[in-house]
Amino acid sequence: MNDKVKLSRRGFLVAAGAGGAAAAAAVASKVAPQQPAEAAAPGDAQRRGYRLTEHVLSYYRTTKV
Amino acid sequence: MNAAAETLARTAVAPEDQARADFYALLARLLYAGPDAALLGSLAGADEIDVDGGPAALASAWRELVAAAAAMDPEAAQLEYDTVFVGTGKAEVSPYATHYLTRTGAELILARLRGELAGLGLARSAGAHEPEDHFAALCDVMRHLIVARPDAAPQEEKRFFEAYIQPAYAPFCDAILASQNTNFYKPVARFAKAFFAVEIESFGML
Repeated sequence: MNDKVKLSRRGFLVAAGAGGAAAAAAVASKVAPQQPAEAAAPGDAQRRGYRLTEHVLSYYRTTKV
Repeated sequence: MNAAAETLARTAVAPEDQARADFYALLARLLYAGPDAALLGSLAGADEIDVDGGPAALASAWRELVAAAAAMDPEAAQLEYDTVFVGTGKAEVSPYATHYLTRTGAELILARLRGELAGLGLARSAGAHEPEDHFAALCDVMRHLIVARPDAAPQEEKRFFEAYIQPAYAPFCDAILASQNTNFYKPVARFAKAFFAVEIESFGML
């Protein structure tokens, strides 16, 4: 992707409010998934590469470890 | 990838892409299950979206969603989710994308999606039993493509979005809006439509 396209797309996203929105970040950090019971074991989180942060839905796990 | 490497990778995500990922995370969560008290509380206290001379549709849809979260109690929201999207037998509003695509091609699309997910190194978590074309799962893949692969070209996000979300989200959101049993999920659907419209326009610039 060339820089011009990248800049205009970024400009659009920011202008539309979908870029740099602190609003989304503040809420997303609170998106604690309702953990399925079998996923609640301590230590399990570290083994699942896909559970990057507290707001990951944990629907998927990565198979590339 | 271990946690430290993920943290490093996250720092390479541009702010606007992180914001998109956060919106996908929120939509994935809201479409997977009814919001709990903590989520409703943080949504209710969320800041407004700044628009910098651009289209205001996303900001007004967000404002409406924030107001709805403030007025909603979690038990009612969860009951609403279960009534509309789960139900017994056939759900009133299917949360699965293939439901809105050509009915005959649903199995084919699901098979292709599974192949793509395998190629991306993604497999369902032990606790996730729903088929992969659940809208929550599709939003979660988008979030993953944005934050876990910041070096990957956005063309890959675009391709996935156009194949699975773009053709199905409007009838899905319209079904939510048309339901007599939805209350909190109407502003969710309007926000989803506004957000995906921004996504479509931005992907069009690639």
